[in-house]
Amino acid sequence: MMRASDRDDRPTPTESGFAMPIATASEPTSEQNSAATAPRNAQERPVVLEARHLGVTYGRGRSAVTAIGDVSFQARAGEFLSIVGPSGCGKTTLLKALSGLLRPTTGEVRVNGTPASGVTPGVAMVFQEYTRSLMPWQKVRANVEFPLRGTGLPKRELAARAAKALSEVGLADVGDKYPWQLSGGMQQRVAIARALAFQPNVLLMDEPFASLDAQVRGDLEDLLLHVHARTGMTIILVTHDIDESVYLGDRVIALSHRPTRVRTTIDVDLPRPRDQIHTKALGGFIDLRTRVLELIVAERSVDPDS
Amino acid sequence: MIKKLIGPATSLAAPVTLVAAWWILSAGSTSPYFLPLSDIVDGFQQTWTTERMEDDLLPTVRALGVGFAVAVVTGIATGVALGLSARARRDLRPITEFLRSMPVVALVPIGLVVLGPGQRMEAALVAFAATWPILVSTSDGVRAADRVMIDTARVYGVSARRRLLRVTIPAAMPQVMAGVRIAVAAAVGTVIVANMLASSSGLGYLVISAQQSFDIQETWSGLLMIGLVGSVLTCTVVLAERVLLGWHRQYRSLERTAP
Amino acid sequence: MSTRAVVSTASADPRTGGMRSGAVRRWSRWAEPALVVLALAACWQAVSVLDVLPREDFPPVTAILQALVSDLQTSELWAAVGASMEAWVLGMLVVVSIGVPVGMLLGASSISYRMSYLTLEFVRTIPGIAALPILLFIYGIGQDLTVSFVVLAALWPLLIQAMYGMRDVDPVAIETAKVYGVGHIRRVLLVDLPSCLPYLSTGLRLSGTFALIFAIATSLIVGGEGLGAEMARAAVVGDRPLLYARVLLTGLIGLVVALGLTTLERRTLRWHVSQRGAQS
Ligand SMILES: Nc1ncnc2c1ncn2[C@@H]1O[C@H](COP(=O)(O)OP(=O)(O)OP(=O)(O)O)[C@@H](O)[C@H]1O
Ligand SMILES: [Mg+2]
Repeated sequence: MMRASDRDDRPTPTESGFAMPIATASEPTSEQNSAATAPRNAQERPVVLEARHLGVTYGRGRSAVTAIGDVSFQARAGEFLSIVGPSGCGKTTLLKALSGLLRPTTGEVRVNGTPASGVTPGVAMVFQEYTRSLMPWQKVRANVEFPLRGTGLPKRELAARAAKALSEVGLADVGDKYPWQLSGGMQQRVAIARALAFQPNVLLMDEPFASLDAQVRGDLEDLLLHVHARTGMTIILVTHDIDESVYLGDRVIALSHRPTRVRTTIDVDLPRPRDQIHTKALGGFIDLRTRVLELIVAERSVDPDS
Repeated sequence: MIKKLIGPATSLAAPVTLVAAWWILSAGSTSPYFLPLSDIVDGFQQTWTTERMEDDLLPTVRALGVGFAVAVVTGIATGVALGLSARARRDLRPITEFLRSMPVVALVPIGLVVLGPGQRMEAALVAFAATWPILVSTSDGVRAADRVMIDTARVYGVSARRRLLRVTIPAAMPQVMAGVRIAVAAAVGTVIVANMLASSSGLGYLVISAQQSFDIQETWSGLLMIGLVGSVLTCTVVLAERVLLGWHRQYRSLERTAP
Repeated sequence: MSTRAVVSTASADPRTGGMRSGAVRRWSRWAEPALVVLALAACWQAVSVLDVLPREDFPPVTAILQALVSDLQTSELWAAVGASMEAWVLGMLVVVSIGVPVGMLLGASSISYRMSYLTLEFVRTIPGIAALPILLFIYGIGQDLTVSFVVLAALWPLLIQAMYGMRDVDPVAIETAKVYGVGHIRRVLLVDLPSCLPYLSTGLRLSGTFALIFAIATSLIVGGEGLGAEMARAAVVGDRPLLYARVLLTGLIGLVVALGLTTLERRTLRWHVSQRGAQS
């Protein structure tokens, strides 16, 4: 278990129960301090989200499309999972099933060990079609506050959380604009801010950085690492960028073509905290991304369509 | 600044020119039917005494207002319900299609039989006629509400009620208002027809009886008033649209200018 | 509870998928709406026969259907239907031949568009019915009156849609046509008209339904020959079943016209979308 020792530098959610709201941890905690109480072995952490022989078929009869064949994996508390797979293999579908938006045709999703029914509370999702997930009739701030409204949270707290999340993604001064007045990359950051303000236990992200330029993308990757380290939330990130999957993840799950299965799982044994310059220069990083790339190229060569 | 003034100026240019042209071209008119506009305006002032307004304008406006309000409420409520349920939509389709393509004037005789002449019947017919455009476009709008937006709200645990009120209905609002706008014409037309056919007072009655007694000036006065009532109702709806859908106007103009 | 909604639209629910076979679903697609109609008719019948509502004013369905069947065998009725439909067809011909070119012309330049759209949006909301008395002065009672009334009332939706359609012609397509030296008339035929088509078909549907209303309204209000006059006659005689039968018939004609125009609209829209898909 070479991974375990590399993860000492992060607090784990186990110490404050599973959910650890950002607000209470808003002072930058010393990462060394909290490391003391973290379990030595990542395997000791509870499984928060599990896919068991998950299968999703759209439609019926002749027009049926089996988007997911049989996918099983576990996400442990505080884990950062990267999922890569060929285009159209059902990554979005997988996230929808994990969040409970869509009921799987076969198999099941387990949340904290019990079968999920309906939408799982405490899950946030950043959609691939971020433009369509923001409400055009509400200003940016209202969009970020929207999930928190009606939860009984005091107004001040709510506004504070939204403001903080917006400034974290570098959009402190656009709260009074409409989302469609922003560039595509800014809109995506608003969607990310909304997820952060929600302070979820599990964050699902569907190719969140795909439309951003390299600079912003790097910044947001680091923001995500920082938030992950500070709050210990579980993050499952779908991406088509191999560097990103390795740079961010504790594990990379590579999916096959439809009907989709898990091709391989690769443990990423890179030390944390990571940073753009040094981590990406590590020999281990380069080896890992080469391995993932090989897998994907191999998968492409069996692609029935190309 | 100048641009801001030019916008309304160009859209006002046409009506102003038209009225001016009418005024000038009709000035020397000797045709018994097309009076000079100046005579029509004179006649308008003579016809619409306070008394006359109480007798003929008020009943029509009241029936129109009541009927239209009922139509907005039932149209939106039913439209939302139908938009949400594919099954209800399918099962009620023969009925909704039949009723909505029913030429509403055909119902005037039945309205007369069932409710008798008067404002109650007029309001009911207006409500019937104006409900369908609102209902149909509301249902379309609700159906077209973005899946991703609704899914987002669901993931964040937003309750079904809030999702409906805060996501689905606002998303459908542009189409709802488009339906309301179409309904204006249906409502005004219906109230006038009902007036013409089945009343002993009201705007429609006034023009028809003026016509029958060959009082051309009074006929024109009535017509002008009908146009005025229609315009005022349209203005109200357009204003409501501006208030409710301020975002949408900018949104759309942005989309239009974008490549 | 709330999951079910999405899953059933996404058709990924194994339960509904497994229990209801394709045949059952196909059957229920037709049977359920039909049952709803039958149930409503039965309700009406019961309400009327049991005198819950005055039977005098709400004749039973059977009586209405009987009246409809015997009415359909009279030549007067068919003459009236013929007259109304003739006015509709003639009116629509005029509406198309004025509305399409004028609308496209107004939409062709952004100045004329901006000058006219507000006025037109207003004109369309002013009830055409208001013009009836003046038209009556000019034409007297007869088919001329009906047709001109139909034109006046039904012109605006088509004209306005044609104008919007022109505004929406892809500037790239126009530029391309210009670059390739396509002549003026050919450009209208090859570029403008096809890309306006969806708007025109929507306008045609709106205008067509309006036109029918006014074709019937004219004879209902002023008399003469037509479906409206037949209704008025039935109402005057006090033959309630016949009145209901004629209203029902009018509704059915309206339904046929609306369905026909909607089908036409859907065809052009689908064609348009598939063309667009092919281009991009
Ligand atoms: N609502 C739906 N109805 C029918 N088929 C669908 C639906 N949604 C997705 N599919 C199909 O399921 C498959 C997987 O789709 P999905 O969007 O999950 O893929 P993806 O991996 O996210 O693709 P991408 O990399 O392009 O984002 C595709 O073949 C798609 O056509
Ligand atoms: Mg996807």
